[in-house]
Amino acid sequence: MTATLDAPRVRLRTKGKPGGVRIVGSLAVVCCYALCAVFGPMLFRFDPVAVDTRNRLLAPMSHTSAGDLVLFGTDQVGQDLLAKMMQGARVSMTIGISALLLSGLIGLVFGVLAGYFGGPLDSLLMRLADIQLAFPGILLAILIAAVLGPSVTNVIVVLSVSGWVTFARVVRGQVLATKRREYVDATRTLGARHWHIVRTCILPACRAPFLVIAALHIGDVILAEAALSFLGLGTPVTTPSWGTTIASGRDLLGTAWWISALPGIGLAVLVVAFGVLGDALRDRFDPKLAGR
Amino acid sequence: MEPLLSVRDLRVRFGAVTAVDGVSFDVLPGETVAVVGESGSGKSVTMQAVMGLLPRGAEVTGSIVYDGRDLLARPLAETRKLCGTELAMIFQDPLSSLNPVFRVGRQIAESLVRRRGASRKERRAHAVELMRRVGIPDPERRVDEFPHQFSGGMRQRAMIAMALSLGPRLLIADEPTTALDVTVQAQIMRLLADLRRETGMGLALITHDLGVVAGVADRVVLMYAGRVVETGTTREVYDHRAHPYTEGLLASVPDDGGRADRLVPIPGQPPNPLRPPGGCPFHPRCRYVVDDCRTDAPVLVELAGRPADHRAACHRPEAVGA
Repeated sequence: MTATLDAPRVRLRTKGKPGGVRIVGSLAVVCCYALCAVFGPMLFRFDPVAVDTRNRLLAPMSHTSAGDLVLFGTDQVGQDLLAKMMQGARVSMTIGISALLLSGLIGLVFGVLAGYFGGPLDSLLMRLADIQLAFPGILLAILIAAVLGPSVTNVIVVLSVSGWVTFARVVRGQVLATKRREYVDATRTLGARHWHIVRTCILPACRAPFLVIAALHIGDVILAEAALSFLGLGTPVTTPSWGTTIASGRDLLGTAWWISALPGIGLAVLVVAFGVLGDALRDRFDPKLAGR
Repeated sequence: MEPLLSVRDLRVRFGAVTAVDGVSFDVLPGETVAVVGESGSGKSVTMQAVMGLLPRGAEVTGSIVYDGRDLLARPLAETRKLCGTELAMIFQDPLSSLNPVFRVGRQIAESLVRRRGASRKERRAHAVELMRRVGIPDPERRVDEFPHQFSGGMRQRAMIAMALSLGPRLLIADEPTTALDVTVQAQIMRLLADLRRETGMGLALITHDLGVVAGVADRVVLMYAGRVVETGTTREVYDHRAHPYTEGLLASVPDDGGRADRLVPIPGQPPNPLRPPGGCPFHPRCRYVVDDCRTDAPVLVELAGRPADHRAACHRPEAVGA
């Protein structure tokens, strides 16, 4: 009886701040990917148009005719899949982070404007957000991508346009909760103008929820980029992102499963890591979950 | 003497609710005026109207003249310019009125940097100086602490330092001691009184605690249901109360009249602002109620045989305290 009573109490005490292990673990995974994306292509020179037909479709862990070990195998034109994935990681993460920053910026600006000034502007922006939420995000992205055509910049634009709503909603909620706080009134009674209040009172309060949403969102963005590329609406074929690599192995799944499977697994692990990171950050920073 | 702040016939409506209904009072330079009333009497809303802090939906009429300028007739931006340099305010809950993400010292001296062009290097020195002035011990160390590291009384001192940083001529204190321990309350009130004497500023003190008023206020304005029910010098109002609400409040303060055993509460509840009673708003709770009280709302008038600035809004002032 005592044991069952003591056990949770001890766990609570050692817990300290929630999600520490998960934050460190998922950050480590993300950092591995980031290192691979930054340094991988420097170590393994990747040439997107090189062809080496003697070594095509080698299975993972086999040796090329020159005797090199190919850890992840080769694809149908004999390119090293590991090098291709590292190059793909670079492209996918660049797109993910850029789209995240852009959509975060749009969402932050719209959210602060809507929440702080309220009134008709709030109604306008939030109805716009409602309309966009009612429309499937990937469908909207496909529509815009089809109109703009495939290029890295266009993918970033497309993903930002479809991703700002979550940021705007969360920021607006936080602004609404903050702007009626007494210290905002106190700042106002010292003669502060709107910009000063937004900068010193509103934005710092939005920081934690913004980070949480960003961590949860970046996985979605990278996944959406892969989906677009898979459908041929994302990055051009000459820029090997994970999506295009997966798509290129689609016809060979029966004979060379690794061309599609390994980038897919890589993608899944990164997205899960970001998801875990986002959840752990939310557990730590969301006051509604505190003390549970 | 020209009043520093002169509020005339102020009315504030939030939709169907009239929170402040024809309030008038003056604050002279260097004077402490206490605005007294229970929750919902409109005392805080009155001061928020002065500082331009009311939410957008509020309908405000009447006039708020500060130093010859009608704040209500001019754009809000002009009131904002006066805020800090001329008018300053401190709030009830000193924890929620300090920004939790910045160091206390930075917050205290922020307006000096922004409004007086003090450099960021001087900021720290200014903050330490202001903190010493309001009696925060060891200011060199505490200047770098965050609000959550301060106790309630120290937070309120920090708020006072912040409000005084630009040398305002009128300080509005909205229940500055309500959230504090009783011993700390006395210290904060003494500090406010000392600072008022040193700087010669006017002090408008919002409170529901008549015990606080007696010690520091020169004049009192008693509010009930959005109206002024009695006003006059503190001594005069205490000694010759002319409104049953004043009488009720004084009877419910410990130590009044030497009856240490039982306090006398005012029966009933403050009126529902959505459905205010007809006539005098106090009549459902009044001991001296007559038929007139139920139909006619009394106006604030001078009292026969009393000083001219002692006024009460009652049909039967002679019955009170008799």
